[in-house]
Amino acid sequence: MSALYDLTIAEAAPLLKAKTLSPVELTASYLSRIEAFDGQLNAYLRVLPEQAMAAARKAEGEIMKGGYKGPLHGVPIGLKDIYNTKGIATTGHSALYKDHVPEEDATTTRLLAEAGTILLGKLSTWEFAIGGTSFDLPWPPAKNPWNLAHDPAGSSSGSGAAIAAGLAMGSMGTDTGGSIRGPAAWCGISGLKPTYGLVSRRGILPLSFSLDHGGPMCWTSEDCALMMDVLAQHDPLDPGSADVAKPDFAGSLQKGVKGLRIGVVRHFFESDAEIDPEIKSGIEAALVTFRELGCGVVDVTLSPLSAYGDAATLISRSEAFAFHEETLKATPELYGELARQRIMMGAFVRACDYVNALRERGRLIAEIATVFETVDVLICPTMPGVAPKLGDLGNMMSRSRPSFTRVFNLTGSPALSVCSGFSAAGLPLAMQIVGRPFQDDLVLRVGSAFEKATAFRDLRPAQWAQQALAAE
Amino acid sequence: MTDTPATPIPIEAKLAEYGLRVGPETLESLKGSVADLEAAARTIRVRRSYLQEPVHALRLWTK
Repeated sequence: MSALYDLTIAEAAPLLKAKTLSPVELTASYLSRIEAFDGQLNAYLRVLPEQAMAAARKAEGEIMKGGYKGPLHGVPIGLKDIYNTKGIATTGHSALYKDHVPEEDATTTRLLAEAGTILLGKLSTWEFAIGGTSFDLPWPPAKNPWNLAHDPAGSSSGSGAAIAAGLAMGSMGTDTGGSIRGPAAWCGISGLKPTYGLVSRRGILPLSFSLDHGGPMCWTSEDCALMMDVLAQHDPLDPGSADVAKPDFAGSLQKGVKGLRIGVVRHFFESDAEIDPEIKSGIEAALVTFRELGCGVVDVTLSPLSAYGDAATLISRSEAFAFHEETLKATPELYGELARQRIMMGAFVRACDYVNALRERGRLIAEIATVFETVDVLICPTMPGVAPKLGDLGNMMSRSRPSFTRVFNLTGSPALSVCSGFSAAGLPLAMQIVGRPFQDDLVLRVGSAFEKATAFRDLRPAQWAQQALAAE
Repeated sequence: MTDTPATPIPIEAKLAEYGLRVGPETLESLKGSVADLEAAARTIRVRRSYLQEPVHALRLWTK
């Protein structure tokens, strides 16, 4: 059997069900790894060893008595520290919320607990999911497991780092402009931004209400599907929650991808924005794989990348400022410099420009729907380059650096980032797979088929594997 | 695109109006970010059909 930290959720679940793997043994193994390695990685803000072991013992008792709940029962996970956890501090990685202890779980926190997951701890984030890689906060930023000198991206930085380093089997991130998919890309894992409304936002610290999405981050797309089978629930207490039929996410992976039509948004990365040649090579190689799997591949045209970025920027800045205005005025010193500045930008958006951005959003959603009449999924890069050095991220929010991810926050489309190879320097490459609204199952199916057709899921960050072997 | 020019945003005045406090370095950086916002706003300032009005919040009927 593989080392425990090497198991995916899909591999561990049958062992847990068959009682050949104990949730207690599995959880203890993860807690040991966190204790041994997280001092270097900073993926966790708060580890919950006693609570986790108690939950593991409870899960073990339930399974032993024949009360197996499903593939997440006994699975150790982490939550980005903007998911409310009852009785456990939820800080947003900010001094402002340092002592914020929620009285209720987020809906997603509750659903995952009811499915029998074991909460290992709360994970590092960019401050309030917007602040960037910051060194002026009460906790240090997470680092990239593939190379500790490099950035893991954000804002779900700890969620990405923990999965890649084998410090959790699954994690939850949030994504307002790419905060699940960016860290998934730079940490070499799979991360899904679901369709807007498919996963409840209730109890997640808000940033921009119409662009915020919660979603899973795992080593494989298959594991993300297992998480989505639990997470996708209508929540009447989230006004954005969709009351739609729930697909069988994990079950649909078996259907394969033969005959699917893949649209490549080539102008995004060949004329609208510059990308690292290694990212482009990774995508071209992936397209060859998809052809070999029996997919049709065609180029498609959308509005220029900047059109999406402009509308998304105006909306996200306005909505973030609306949420933070009072505390920003009252206690600006409790925000880090990057978050303070980025949130403050909302004060400079004119009301008519926000309205125009909403109108433009409607136009762009209609346009992408038209393109989806001719193809089943879209493919484009996740990030323009590989992970830079920690602290060298620069101004990712600058208009001169258009984002490939924000496009799909604006349209609400399901968008998955998967690892598409490795650079010469050993850093992960990635691409996005995007689908029609509420076809998240199809997006995951395409991602999973790609992962199974390639060998990129066989390679873990070497540093942690070597250290694990040395420890054994 | 419409010809209506937007009045340049007076950054210091706006900060004062909102009661926001920033240091000199932040102010300098903020100027660049505000220029980005103005450029973004210019690109979407076009005449639009009433069909594009974002009225989804007023869809009060149920299926």
